[in-house]
Amino acid sequence: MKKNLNVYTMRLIKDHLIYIIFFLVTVLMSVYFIPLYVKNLRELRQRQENVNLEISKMKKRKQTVLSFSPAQIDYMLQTLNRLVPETEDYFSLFNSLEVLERKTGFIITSYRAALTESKKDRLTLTINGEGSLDSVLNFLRVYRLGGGRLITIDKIDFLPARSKVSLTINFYAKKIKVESDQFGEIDPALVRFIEKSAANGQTQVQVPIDSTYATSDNPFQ
Amino acid sequence: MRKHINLLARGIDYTKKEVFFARFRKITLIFGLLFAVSITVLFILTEKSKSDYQNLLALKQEYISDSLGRKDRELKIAYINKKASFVKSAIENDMNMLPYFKIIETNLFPTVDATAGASINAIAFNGARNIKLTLTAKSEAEFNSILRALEDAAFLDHFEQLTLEQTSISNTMQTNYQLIINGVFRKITETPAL
Repeated sequence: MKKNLNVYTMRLIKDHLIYIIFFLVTVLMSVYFIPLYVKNLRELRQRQENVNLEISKMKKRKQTVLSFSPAQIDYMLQTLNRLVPETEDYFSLFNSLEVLERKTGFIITSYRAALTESKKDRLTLTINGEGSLDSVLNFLRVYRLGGGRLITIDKIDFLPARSKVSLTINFYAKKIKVESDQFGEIDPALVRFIEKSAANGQTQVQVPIDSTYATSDNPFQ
Repeated sequence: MRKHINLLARGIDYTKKEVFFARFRKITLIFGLLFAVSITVLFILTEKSKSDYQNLLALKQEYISDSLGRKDRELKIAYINKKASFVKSAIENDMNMLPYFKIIETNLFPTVDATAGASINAIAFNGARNIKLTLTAKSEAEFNSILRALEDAAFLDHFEQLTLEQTSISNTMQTNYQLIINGVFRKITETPAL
């Protein structure tokens, strides 16, 4: 009986052999090709995404570069190098103290370098001077960039009764290294900051911005 | 050996097998069709992605060649960005002493100015918001008015702590009252004016 059934089953199997082979081949191909295609597709999409990211960075870079005229770039560079020179420039340091004296009414009578407190990019000075409360307040209002050099204060000793002031201040000088593939976005706030710094630190030289420089909304034109 | 097929007895089994194989045929065809469609769709998508990727690479190359002419300006901008960030961070780390001095100016100087013999002898202030005040007075009334100004709730509110370090009365030529106050201001988060 069993053998008879097998014969019939065998007959059915034989009749459907082509379907069975087709089914098995399709299953094998599905197991191999579909994941392969999906993997390739994912990799391609990932690569596309990376290239897209690089392109959008380059696009932004181009827009940034084209949004400033060469004159504006040089002006910003000059302003920042005036505030923080690459190496300590004593002439500009003393000049900035003089400018602050003129601007604030605070008279500097002596100064000395506090070498123990100075660091690689920072020169610390202790300055002694004379001034009223108003001149001290004026000094505190403008000292940061008002003299044309970046200044920060560590300590202040004020003797109002004798109008004597002693300040521990820092001047900065920093060499910036830029790699050839490096690029920083300049956001509008930073540009405004530099312009404001330049305006505040303006001492004698008026550096003009080339306002006639043609700007374009479309950086690709 | 005699072979026979008992169709009547095993009819149900045969039908089941026939139905099974009929279903198998259908499933195989549907599966094959689905596979063909899937592979075609995946192939088309892959080819499209490949072509998009090639286009993007060409565009990237275009940007690279385009930027070569602006290398100098790009480097200058990178330099500006780094240096401006340095300046900004130095300013942000610098303690803005002005608002703290204004607190002293507003709260103590009017009292001192209003009395002939009282004075603020010294104000020592550092970046850690520590302040040391030395005040003098020539009479008890002046001394009391300085104390009242120091103990004013609005004034005290500006400090994390304010302690009387030393008080002394000297009688050399005339009576002198001296107060030395140590304090730590509460942090004022005021953006420093440039």
